[in-house]
Amino acid sequence: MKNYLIRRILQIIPVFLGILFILFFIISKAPGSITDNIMDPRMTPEMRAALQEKLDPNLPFYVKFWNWIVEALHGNFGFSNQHYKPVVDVIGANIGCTFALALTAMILSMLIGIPAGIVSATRQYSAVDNVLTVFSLAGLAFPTFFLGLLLLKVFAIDLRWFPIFGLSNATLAHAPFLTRLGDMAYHLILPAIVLGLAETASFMRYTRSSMLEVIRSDYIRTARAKGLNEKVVIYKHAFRNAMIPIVTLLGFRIPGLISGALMTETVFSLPGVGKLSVEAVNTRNYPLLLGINAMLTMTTLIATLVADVLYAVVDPRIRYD
Amino acid sequence: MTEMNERKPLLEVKNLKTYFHSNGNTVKAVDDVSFEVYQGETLGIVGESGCGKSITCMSLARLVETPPGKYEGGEILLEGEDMLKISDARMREIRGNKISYIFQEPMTSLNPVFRIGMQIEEVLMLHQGLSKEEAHARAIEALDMVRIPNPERIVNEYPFALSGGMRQRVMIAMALACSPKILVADEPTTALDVTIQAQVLDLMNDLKKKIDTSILFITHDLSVIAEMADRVMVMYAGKVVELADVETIFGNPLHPYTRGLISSRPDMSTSSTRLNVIPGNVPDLSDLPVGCAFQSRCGVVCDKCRQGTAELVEVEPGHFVRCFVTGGKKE
Repeated sequence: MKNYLIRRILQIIPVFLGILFILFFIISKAPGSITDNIMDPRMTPEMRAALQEKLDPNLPFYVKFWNWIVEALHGNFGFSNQHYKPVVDVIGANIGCTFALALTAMILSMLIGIPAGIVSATRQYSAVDNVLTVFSLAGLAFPTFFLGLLLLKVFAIDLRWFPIFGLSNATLAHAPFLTRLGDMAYHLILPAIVLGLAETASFMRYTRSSMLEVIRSDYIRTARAKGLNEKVVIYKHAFRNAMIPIVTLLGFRIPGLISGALMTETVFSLPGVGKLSVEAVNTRNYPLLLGINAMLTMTTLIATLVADVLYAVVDPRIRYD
Repeated sequence: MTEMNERKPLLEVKNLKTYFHSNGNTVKAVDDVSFEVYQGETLGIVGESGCGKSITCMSLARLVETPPGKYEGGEILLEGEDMLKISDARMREIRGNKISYIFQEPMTSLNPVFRIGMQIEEVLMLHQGLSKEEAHARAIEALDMVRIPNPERIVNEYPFALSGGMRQRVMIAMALACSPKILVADEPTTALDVTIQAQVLDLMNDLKKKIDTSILFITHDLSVIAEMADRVMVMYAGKVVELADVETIFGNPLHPYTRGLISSRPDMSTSSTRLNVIPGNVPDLSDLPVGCAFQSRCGVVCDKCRQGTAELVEVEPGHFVRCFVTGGKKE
């Protein structure tokens, strides 16, 4: 296991560099330049060219790629011209919101999706199963932005149950920590529902099909023949096996959740990385865009590593050595 | 075997009917089956695939999934208790305790994610109220009893670490852990190599004597039946067609189907190169012909066979046959 982990962590490095290389290539081919959004009427074309040369010199993308790596190794991940701050600081100020949102959505979707999937599988083709199936297909098919706007309209604007935007109430800026935490949770309810809905639906579908497959297997018949009660058969013998593919899903959903947060954050005006990356694209803030994408790439790679390790934890047949 | 019939049977199955209903079709998988199992005997059930032998045995502890299955009638009396009438909770107390099962597929019958020890301990803790430690010690004993080498080590292994033969021994250890009254073995050696098969059969015979259990042994392999069974029940299309002790079945088979089965065994003593077979296939159970289900494959079929179904008749003491042509002789 230890050797496997070391080998696996070392594998991350070339994959990470490869993805970055592709990112540099794509960004170098993207239209527009970093000075496009600087709209000073007094600025002459010469001044603009000089500024361009200073901020983003006209070099081949692989040279830029190399320079970025060298700088990154020194702890410098670029400078965001808009914010007048290093990229790391800008991302750092926004990442908390994204993680809080993604984590809440993830936990919610697991807590609802997995039990619902089990119920659905153990009562296949029953009324409950049909209702849950319709719900999950609707959840998968419903566009995030539309659902977000709908919930905002109904629950925030008409009913005034939830705040319309943001992550915190400014009047509570100096309140005790727990009050602020509660306030944040309150602000996260609607966005987490929107982000979590599709996740819940896919957890449910995966759990259902995985459980259905397991329930028909010989060892479940053995468990029943032993005289175990149905709860032990389903929740212990069947679910431990059905969990194996779900763990894989978990690893793949974490990066998906973070990128899914992009749309949700934009709709709910949350100060997160998703919203930041939309801004970075709109303002051609390439250093920031690169920084965000590098961070997302790293999160994805680490999440798949964690999923692989969890895989060995839940399935004794998998041993890494 | 007549002395056995004088004793009170341990298990009495009377007119058991297990049907499957799906899409408007009714499949009579077990159609009016009656038999007894006596203390300490092995009753072999033989028949082709789909003849209802597995469903008969699964029905004994209500293991047939309902739906699609349904127990349409009959009684299953184990020590006077009707398995078809008792509550689910009482049924669970009996499963794994009074009636245990060994299934055909050792490779998939053990839960892959739990240690072998845990899977045996579970039965002991459930039915005998043992503590975790006591159950663990007993699990090691049980593995030792089925002649698994190094039981102290194997008890902590996962099923994937064992071969098919070893896994089937684990299944036997698990099934016998609570010294059941009846062990139902559903083709326990079909998936094993011939040499391993012989070892497992020997083991089952030894253990049967040791813990004085009765065995219901399902197989389609007649040589296995000859080695294991005291009495043999032959099933065809959900019905019992012949029931007798093992010497009679092999020495004086009466039903044309039993005769066909026995003559289709490879015979090493003749130089014949071709194997005798019973022509045709098992009929579709949802679309049985009027009359005898075996009529289309039978060599001695008569008009009567196409009109009605024969009763199971006792042609000599302990020998029952369901056939108009060969079964009615002594009446």
